Amino acid sequence: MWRGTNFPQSNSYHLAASLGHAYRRSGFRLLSDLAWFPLSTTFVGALFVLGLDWRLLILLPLTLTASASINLLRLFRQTSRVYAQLKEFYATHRHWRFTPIPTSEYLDSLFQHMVIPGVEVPEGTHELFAQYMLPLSEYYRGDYLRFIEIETDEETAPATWVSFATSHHAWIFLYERPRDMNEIAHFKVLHEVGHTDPASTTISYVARGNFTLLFASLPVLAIMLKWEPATVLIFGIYLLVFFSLTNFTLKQFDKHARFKDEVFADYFAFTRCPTRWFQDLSAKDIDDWVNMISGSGSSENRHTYISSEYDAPLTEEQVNWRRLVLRDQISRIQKRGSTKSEEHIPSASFRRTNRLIFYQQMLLIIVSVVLGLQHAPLTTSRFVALVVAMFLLTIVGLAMIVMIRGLDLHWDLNVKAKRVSEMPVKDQKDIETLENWQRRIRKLIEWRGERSGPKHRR
Amino acid sequence: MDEIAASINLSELNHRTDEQVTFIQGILKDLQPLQTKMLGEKTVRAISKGATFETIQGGRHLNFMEVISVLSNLATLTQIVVLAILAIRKLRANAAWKIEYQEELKKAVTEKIKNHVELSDLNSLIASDPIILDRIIEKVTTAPGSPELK
Repeated sequence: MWRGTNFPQSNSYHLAASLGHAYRRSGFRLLSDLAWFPLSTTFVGALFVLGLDWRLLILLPLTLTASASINLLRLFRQTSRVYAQLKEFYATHRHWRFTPIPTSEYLDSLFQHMVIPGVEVPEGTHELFAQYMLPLSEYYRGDYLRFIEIETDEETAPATWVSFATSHHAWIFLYERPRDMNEIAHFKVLHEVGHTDPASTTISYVARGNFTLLFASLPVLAIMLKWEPATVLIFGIYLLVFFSLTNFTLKQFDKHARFKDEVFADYFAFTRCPTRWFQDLSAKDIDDWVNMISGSGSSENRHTYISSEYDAPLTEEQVNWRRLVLRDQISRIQKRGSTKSEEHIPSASFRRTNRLIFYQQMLLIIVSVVLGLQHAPLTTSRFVALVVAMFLLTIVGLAMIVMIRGLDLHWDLNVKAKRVSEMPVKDQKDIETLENWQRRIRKLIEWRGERSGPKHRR
Repeated sequence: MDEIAASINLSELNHRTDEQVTFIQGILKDLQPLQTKMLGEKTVRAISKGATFETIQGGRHLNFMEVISVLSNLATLTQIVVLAILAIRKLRANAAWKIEYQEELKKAVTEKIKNHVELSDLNSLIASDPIILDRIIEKVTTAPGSPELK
């Protein structure tokens, strides 16, 4: 029996480093938050002029708290959107039963398929294996990922394997128990697991609800600023950049994000599967395999096959491009025994849009700071009004967060999607470098018989 | 041949016995080994039983409707061939299966499908892959465990 998926904390830095771009995303996220919520940045601008004033000791923490509260609200709204999809899914398919699958069962089955029986398995391998196969969030949270089996009456059945991911939890719905899965099914599950990784754009830092932030900022800005033509002009520029970012660049991002998500999930699965799973595929098999994973790309099928009411379908070009990437990855595995890094998979338009988002956000921050320079004198009445406005903003943000978190609890209780408790894990004492443990797991997965140890030690 | 086509009882198309379901499952595995492996045992069993497949909205998903549709059509075609054989056996008064019946069987099945609008997907399947019916007939008439041909 699998020992569990609680991870040794000592490895956290190594693991985080393994997904370096997850860290870079955090930096991006901070930048994004600053850009979207003018309150804090405008306040920074005001500081330049106000200089040191005891009242700032009150206003500054209040500004930060209000910003944090409203920014968190944006994040939770994103989560709430996924919950809405989950609830609708549950309501539409209420004739199905949903049974939680222990993560240990999934890992156990995956391990049995990946590691050749009879190979000596060193102590600690199982924990490292879990770290390698599950998303980063599972490592930090421990109860992030939940596998759920769909059971039906055999009159109906799901044509889809699906994952729903938020920053709090992720659910993967399967039509088969992991213990009954073959290696292709395991590839499919790994693909879904890839969608729940924070490096995937599914849980994107470009969250929705940007207008909420703008509207929330307006009362504070109205009190804080000296309304004269220059202020109006600067504010106009701010709105111009804001709307072009929201209505043009982010829409472009959305178009590419879905494609990028799929390519990332494929990459996540490929890098974790043993290369022997793909070695014997003939050219025709590869074609069939690629078509099954990506769809045929024909316009009449794209809508029913790839899109959902929540997502626009991939364009024909994107489907073809994905097929090309899939074929290239299998061909690399067959010829060189390795895949192409996800970061090196060309996606010029996506990178271009990402860069545009970055520049526009920088511009928003700069304009916000300049707007702060247009602040009105901090009279007592204005000071009191600002304190009250920011206090109210914090309260409203927190109240809404509590409401949305309530949905989380509601879902947990009603869908019975609670994780089946894991067996206790033995503490992992030795700290291993990322490279070492990744190499160890890959070596174990790719083992071809040069060793003769018949033991399977746990 | 018209007589055979008329005797194929399509009302039994979606009432497959467990024996027939297992038999169709075997045929599907023979005809589309990678596809059946891809979909997994449980899904192939559901296809063989004639289950209705539902897509899931939202989230991120792998949707196999396209390949499920192809396999469902193959399963239906296999079932029609089985029903046609049953019809022939009935008409020929339980005579032993003869190799020359195969051509007759093919024509009867094609004729039957052409006359039913709801089977237009099968028409397209046969049109796109002209040897698929021959292959199914061959599999059904030669596969061990065929419940109707023992």
